[in-house]
Amino acid sequence: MNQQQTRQTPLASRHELLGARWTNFAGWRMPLQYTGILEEHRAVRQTAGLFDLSHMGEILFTGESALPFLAWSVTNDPARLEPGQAQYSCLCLWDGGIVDDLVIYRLPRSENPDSLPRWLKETAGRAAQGHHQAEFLVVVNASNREKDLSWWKRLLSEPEMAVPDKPEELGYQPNLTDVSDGIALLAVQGPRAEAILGSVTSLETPIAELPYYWCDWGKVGGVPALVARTGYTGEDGFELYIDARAAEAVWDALLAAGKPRGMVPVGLGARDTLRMEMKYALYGNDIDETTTPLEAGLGWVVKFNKGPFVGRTTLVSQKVEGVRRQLVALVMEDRAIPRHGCPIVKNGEYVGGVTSGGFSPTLEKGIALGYVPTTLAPVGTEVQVDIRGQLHPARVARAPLVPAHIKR
Amino acid sequence: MYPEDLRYSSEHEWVRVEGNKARIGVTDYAQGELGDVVFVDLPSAGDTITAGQAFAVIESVKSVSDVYAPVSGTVVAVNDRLSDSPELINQSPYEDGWIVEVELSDPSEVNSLMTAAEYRASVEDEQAEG
Repeated sequence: MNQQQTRQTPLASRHELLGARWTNFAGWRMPLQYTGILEEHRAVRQTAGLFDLSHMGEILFTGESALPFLAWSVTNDPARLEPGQAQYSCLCLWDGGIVDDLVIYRLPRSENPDSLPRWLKETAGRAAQGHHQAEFLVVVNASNREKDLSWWKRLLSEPEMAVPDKPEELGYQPNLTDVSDGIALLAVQGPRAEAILGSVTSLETPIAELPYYWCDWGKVGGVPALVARTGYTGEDGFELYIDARAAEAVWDALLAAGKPRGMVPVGLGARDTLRMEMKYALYGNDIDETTTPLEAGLGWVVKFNKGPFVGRTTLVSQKVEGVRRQLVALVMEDRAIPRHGCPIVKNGEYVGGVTSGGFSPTLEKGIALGYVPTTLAPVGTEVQVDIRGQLHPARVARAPLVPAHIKR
Repeated sequence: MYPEDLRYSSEHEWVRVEGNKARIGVTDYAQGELGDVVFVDLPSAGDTITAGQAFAVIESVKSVSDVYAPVSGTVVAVNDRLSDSPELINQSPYEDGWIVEVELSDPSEVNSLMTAAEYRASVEDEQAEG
């Protein structure tokens, strides 16, 4: 490992002190586990877990043209968002292939513009004062930050004649600012997340009233933050966007509040097992530029009726013709554990491959996500997974594989 | 943790010799590197194992690892408890987490394994590099 090329989050020393085992993810040195993946996974499902996700990318879209440009570039419809509301979306190529999956937060209004985090105030000037314009924080995968920015910049520079669909600018260009380096992202997830976070947080909306996929400004451990009721675990929980320089203080405050309530620090190992049980896609495994949202089961974030958007033409054809393959969740019937790359077989024929595979701590069985022909996608279909040369039986399962507890 | 009465291989297996028989498992260092063990693929009694060749597979949440035979012989017993409780390898790598017992075909092979002190030194070297 080339130490000079690997980045660390502002919480590296905290992870070191907690005895983390490390892994390299997207060029970042991240905690894989602390006490063990199984224990950390179970804690999130039963009590709570604290995650350092500061490797993720965050891009601010501000200025008058932020909304039309963003809306044209993604599959979902940010024009539907009220201030403080969020949505999950894909960012696609012209052929419908997925450049990234991301979450778009429309910045809430604030009663206390002087108490906002610096990552907003220093970079977005006008955004911090009156939010009459729609302005957005777009959160992207760590592995795609540079790629997404390049793609958006390319879309901005495409001349309108070449792209007849491109929304007419009002004479202004939107501002895209990469604020990732100034932000530390922490997540608190689990049934006790609200109680734990609530005990050290004051929000402009009372935390108990913050709905799923909404966010608001406030203070966590006295530190200004954007607090969002979003996550990647299927449990109730929150993601906190704070100034990087305050990361350690907030981490300490959360652990102090959470430990007596059963909260533990959780690494990327359990983050992966938790999301897999929910059949949440992982970019690079389950979705990439060769898969479309319709194939990946993400048709619900494609809003065909909002008007033109990048990829719409291809996706419309695919919707009309029907997808030929679909991402499904599989549960193994014996003790074998499927892994990324394992072939999926039906009647002696290769029909697809495992894109994410592993062990489900909740089901205590091997589980996988993978693409199969649409004819084999119905729940209950039996297939086999080739694991190191041996075929093992599996069944297409309904997702999520375990009950979700997001607050509806 | 490096029990003195054991011998060790460079692939992080241990051997406890009892007369012409040897009990085999993986070391504490190995189980720490593996993480939570969730499945063990065991050989059967009567199988032959050959020094240097894989004879079992340990699956952890994140990885699949071959277990290499530190010595050659015939399997006389396997630890059936690992089927229901693979975590014994993490919890008790040198006792309850034993993997197989073999009848040695060439007891002199044990002499080329490391002592506890030698193994400890090699692990510390590995950790310094990592």
